[in-house]
Amino acid sequence: MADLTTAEFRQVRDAMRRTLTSSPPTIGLIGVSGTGKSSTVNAMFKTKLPVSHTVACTKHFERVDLRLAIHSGEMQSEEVRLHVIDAPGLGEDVSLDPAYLDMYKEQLPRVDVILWILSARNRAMALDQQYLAQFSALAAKMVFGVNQVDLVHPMNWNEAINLPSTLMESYIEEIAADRSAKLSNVIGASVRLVPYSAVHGYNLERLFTVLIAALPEERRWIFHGLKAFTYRDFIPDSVKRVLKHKR
Amino acid sequence: MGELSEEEIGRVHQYLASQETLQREAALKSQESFFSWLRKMSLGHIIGKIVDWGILAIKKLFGWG
Repeated sequence: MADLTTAEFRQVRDAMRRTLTSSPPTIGLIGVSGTGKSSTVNAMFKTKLPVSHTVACTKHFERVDLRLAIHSGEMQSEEVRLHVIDAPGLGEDVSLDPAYLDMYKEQLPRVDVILWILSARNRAMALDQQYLAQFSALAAKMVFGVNQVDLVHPMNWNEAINLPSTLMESYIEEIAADRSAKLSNVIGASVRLVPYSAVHGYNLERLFTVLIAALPEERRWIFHGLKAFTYRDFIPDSVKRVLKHKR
Repeated sequence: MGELSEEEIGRVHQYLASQETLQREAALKSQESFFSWLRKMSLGHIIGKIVDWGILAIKKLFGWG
């Protein structure tokens, strides 16, 4: 910080402000209701999108304007906005889906990246495949996340180390391969797909890295600046102590 | 919590190592992106002053996150 002159710092700050104001970071979130879309965004960016375990929090297509706090540094008083395009009720009501899909078609070409969330619990891919067929032209900016791997059979998550059991791990690999194949068949190309658990933070780092790679090169630094987690956040303290002791 | 088995400790090490590699990969891509952006903003001259900071340059300058 002391390496920059005041004038240089001001130039960088002003350029950042212009870039973020004229073109705020935008994510398109797709996935049928209940797959943990909001939980995923909240885990990556420490946002507070509403999460409901029963019904969708809202039935309406949303463009949510998330204001992220800048806690310290020279831009403490500045606001950074993350826009999230979402249809929380997608897949819940056949009468509403066409309208949601039309809105996605209008909005998705303008987002930086599309995060498509699936649930590891759900083998039925037909709905997602049908939706994907309508958006296949945007496949280059898509990242598929298979969430809720903590609920994969036999559901014996190893809480002590916050990792799936070895048996779960093998099933998770099978699920990832299966979903990849089914999605690839729709668009005729390989897809970026990451199995993870937003609740446990499992493989969130991989999901974020793949997301970064999917972004246009000039936009990556913005999303990385908003990243609000590290994989170490999810390792139990007791495990950290053991690892430290074993060194 | 009971004592961890050697297998569990091994799995944790393996997982942490993979996540660390991924974290660095994302950081490197984002750093390149940031420096490209600086050049595009005609601010390439400051890159030499912050290159030691790497991707932390953004957070260090502006305390994001």
